[in-house]
Amino acid sequence: MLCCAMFSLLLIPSSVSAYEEDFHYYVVYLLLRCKGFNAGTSHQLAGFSQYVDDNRYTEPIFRWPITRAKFHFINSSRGRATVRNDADAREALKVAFDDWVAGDPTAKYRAGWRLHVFADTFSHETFTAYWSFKFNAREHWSIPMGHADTRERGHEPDRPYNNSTRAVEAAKAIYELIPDRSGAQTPWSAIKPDLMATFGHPDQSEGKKIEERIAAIQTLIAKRFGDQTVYSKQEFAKEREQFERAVGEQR
Amino acid sequence: MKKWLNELLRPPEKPAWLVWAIAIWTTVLLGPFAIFGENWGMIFYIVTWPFSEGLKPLYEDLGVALYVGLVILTHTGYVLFSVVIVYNCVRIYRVYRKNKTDASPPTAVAS
Repeated sequence: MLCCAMFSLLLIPSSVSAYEEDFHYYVVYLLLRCKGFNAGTSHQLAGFSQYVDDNRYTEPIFRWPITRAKFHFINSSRGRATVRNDADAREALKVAFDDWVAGDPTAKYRAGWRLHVFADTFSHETFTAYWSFKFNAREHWSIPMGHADTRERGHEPDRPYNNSTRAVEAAKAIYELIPDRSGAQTPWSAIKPDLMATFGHPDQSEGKKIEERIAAIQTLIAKRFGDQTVYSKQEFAKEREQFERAVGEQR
Repeated sequence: MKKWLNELLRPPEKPAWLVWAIAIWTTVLLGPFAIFGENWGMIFYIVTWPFSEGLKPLYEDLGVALYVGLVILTHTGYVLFSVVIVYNCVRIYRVYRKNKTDASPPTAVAS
């Protein structure tokens, strides 16, 4: 048993996620570009959106539920589940973008966080960050905390192919909240079919690797904007302390 | 004072049960990862607090597996230390009671 347990350490993935990197970085990047943000700014904002899952203090697993709620299951509690398109999450995202537009240099960290937690209101709807059989029990194989007790070893809600309609709705809600920039705009009607096709592609079967899903969105980005963008955790970890300070000071 | 400290921290004469304690506690902390995967980390963090929190600054740089390994190492060490202290306290108390009983004057004289 002990040997099995030791071996299991090797199986623990190096990162854990809410919606995964394909959505939190690549889809958000695409949406920012569609609203006229330049490639550099889109990379920064989308990068800090994904970095919430990778940062030591904001990642969703090795944390107290109260912190998990703050960054991944907004407004959830023992008696309340996360609600899709949560009004507070919407408002906080608007404020973060307003601060960013006003020139606040720390706003990109908060915008990243708010983009992340807002996207998660879709993937984490009906779940709570806390221990709760009432809200979190699904498949009855794992602990009733967050969405641990779902299919695909607890990752089912994170993977857009499991509910492509909801993922597209999340993308649309984010698109509508991102302020317009001076660059060329791409209307939602133009990208919706592409996203629908990518999320709901027949190849998007259970267990499809994150790398393949990322490649699909990267192709979409390259086709539309000619960008070859890649998320690197190490790149954003260079601003770890500023990020932690910016998101830690907020309620 | 030094003698008391030595007595308190003295390793048990038969350390085999300590090895068992290490094996059992490591299995308790690590075993569920084999069943629940990373989801066990949510409970693991709470069970091993404050060690899990104290070592959290290393989480990003070490990676999950090393972080978990390090937390288990420190937490198991702490549990063992506590077990040894409790064991020695009980042992010292028993010796004290025995010495006190032996030193007591007889309460009745045989006729």
